[in-house]
Amino acid sequence: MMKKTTTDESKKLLLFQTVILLVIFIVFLSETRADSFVPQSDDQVLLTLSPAVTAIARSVRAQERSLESNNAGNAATQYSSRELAAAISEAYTLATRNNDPRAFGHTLSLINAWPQQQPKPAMVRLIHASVLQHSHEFMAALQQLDTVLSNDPANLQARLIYSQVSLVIGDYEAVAQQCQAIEAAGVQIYALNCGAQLQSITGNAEFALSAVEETLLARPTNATQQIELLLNAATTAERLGFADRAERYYRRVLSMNPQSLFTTLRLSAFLLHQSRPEAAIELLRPYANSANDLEAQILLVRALQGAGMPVNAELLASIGAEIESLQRLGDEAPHKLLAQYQLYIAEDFATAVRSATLNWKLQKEPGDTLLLASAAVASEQSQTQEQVRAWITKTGLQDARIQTVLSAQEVL
Amino acid sequence: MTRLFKSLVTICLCWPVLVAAHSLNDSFFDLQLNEGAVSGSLQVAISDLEIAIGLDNNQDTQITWGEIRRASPAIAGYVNSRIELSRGDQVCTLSTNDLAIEQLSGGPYVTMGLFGQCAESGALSLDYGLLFDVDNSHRGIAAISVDGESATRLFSPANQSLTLDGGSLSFWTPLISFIGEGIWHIWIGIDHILFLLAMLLGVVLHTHRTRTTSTAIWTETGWSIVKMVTAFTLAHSITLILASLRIVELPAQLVETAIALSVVVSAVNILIPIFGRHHWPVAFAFGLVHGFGFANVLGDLNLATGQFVASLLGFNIGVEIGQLVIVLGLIPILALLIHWQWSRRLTTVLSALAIAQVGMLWFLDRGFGVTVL
Repeated sequence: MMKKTTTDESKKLLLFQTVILLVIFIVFLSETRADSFVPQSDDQVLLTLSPAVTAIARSVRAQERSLESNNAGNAATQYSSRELAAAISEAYTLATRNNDPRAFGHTLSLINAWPQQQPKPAMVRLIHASVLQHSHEFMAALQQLDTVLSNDPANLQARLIYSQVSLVIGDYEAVAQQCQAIEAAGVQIYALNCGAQLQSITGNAEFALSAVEETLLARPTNATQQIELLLNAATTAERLGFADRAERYYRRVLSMNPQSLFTTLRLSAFLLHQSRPEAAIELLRPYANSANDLEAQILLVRALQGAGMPVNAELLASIGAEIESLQRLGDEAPHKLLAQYQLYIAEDFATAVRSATLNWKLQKEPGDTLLLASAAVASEQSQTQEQVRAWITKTGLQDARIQTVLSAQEVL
Repeated sequence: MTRLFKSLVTICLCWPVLVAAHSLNDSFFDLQLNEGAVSGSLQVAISDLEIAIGLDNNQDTQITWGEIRRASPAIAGYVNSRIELSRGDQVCTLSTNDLAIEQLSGGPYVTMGLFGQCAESGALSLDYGLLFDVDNSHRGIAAISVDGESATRLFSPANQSLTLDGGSLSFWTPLISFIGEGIWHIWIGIDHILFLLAMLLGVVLHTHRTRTTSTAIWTETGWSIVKMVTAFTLAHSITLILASLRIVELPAQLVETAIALSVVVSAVNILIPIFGRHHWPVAFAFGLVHGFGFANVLGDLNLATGQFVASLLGFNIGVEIGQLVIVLGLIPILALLIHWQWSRRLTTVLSALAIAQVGMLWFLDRGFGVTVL
């Protein structure tokens, strides 16, 4: 937590920020200017391939072999539709299991290879929608889902994904429609969770939390459903300021699925907001060296700084280098990550507001709104703060964190 | 199917994390073209080369330098078949040499030199197609320099070709792009819009008060609006340029507070004509302040030095277009509202109070951190 500073505190902060940026700059400079090298021996191991890369390479080789054996002279004859559908499903499972960007990209490449003259099965369109959602192409994802639903209005998966995408982009009317359709389909647990998710961010958070808690107590649910309900309960309780309940639910999810990076990140952020950086550090330590988990690394730096512990220069350099790389993507850059870095590590508040605004144009979940509010307060941009207030008034969003940020002018 | 369903549900739940895991699978492409001679370098992740052509011959999941060295003809063939360069009507020659390794943030990369020969003049065409057929999330980030002019380009599955035609490289693209930014900024900048609205109302009401015939009213109103808008435009263009070039710099808080004050004062002028017939000098004075506000936005966009002039020009043109659309849209509405005496009085009082109140809230908030609402 960082309060508006007095002049002395400002100077200290400025000095601290300068030192950090200097360290990042020096290490990054030495990193980027390190000459390329030619290994001395043929036996020198340069990389151990990740399971995801190995699996993708295997899939690509299989595709090439199939192409060769089918008909070398006819490039259109690649996989049969059945083989292709299986490959798409396999690639998607790999992508979600490993959270690997290449695997998501490979899934999309396989989907794009679908023969134009053959209609895509619903399963392929659902995967397509999920991958498009992953790459922030929300409207394109909804188009795929519309096609599925026009052929099969009772498709539950399509409705569930539709409601999630609509929640992300802040189209709450569409969410309500999907929740009704899910309820009409008679899948009560999903309908209840869908409705509760919507109510929890549109002014009925207490009611939504009670409904989810009652369901958790009263109804038999499978593990997937329980995780969904618990996460919903945890995030709603957190927004309402019920810290004990929120932590209890987050930890229950984590005990059910210890590998869940999503839950780890949410719980760590929650602990940071509760001024418990040491507990967050404990959760985030395993991600210190994982270049694939930049959000975890940024949270770890915040936690270390919050606990007054030294931040490893290599970690800062790694984050700085990855951010530099992401910035080169221009419009395609993940603005949320950039905003987090600019706000919490680089303390470049004006740029953080811009990144947070670009992110908020795309996605309007409470976490995105909190980030925007924090960046706006840090940079003292009252117009953006008003934009956030207007959104809260319009939607009825109850979020104790955002209220703290706006009323106390504190960055969370 | 159940497993797939669970996966789909899981990705719905966990999308924020999944989007956080961003690309380590970019390649970096640096190309210079000087009087027809091509030189540069290309860096591709070892993991990407494994996917594209297969390096792990013994399938032990470990990539050694020997495996890369032995695959060098395949790597060269792959690069040559996926990157095509032409100038004028002639295809350029392009070859690779000197494989080496470089450790980047995304892991170890194979780096190779590029060299070749193009025609000495004509438009340069570049087609980049590494990996897109097997990894749709791959991106090629290219730094291209043609006869001294340089730019950065991002190649993606939807954007695999690039044609560079002389000056278009560094001027027109940012110019067009920033026209959009300028229009967008004035449209979302409610303080600028309210100021314009208040000034327009002030002009229209003043001529109503001082002229009696309908022709005289509309001739003078039109002329006064043209003068006022031109003065505002000229003034904010001056400070936008001065501030963007860092010749004059003012604290953002001071500028934002002054803009809020300009809204309050211009709203008061609707009710009590304090500007008299001097709307254009006032618009000029406040325009200078609003220009600093625009510059703050432009500063946040982190313009590349080489594209600064075009971006600045584009942003300014965009602001003017956006402003013109607002003015043209408001004039008929105002004409209607002030046509009858009762609606004129109502418009005068309500708009003045509403605009002044909003302006005052901004003024207190921006200047003194007092949040009333």
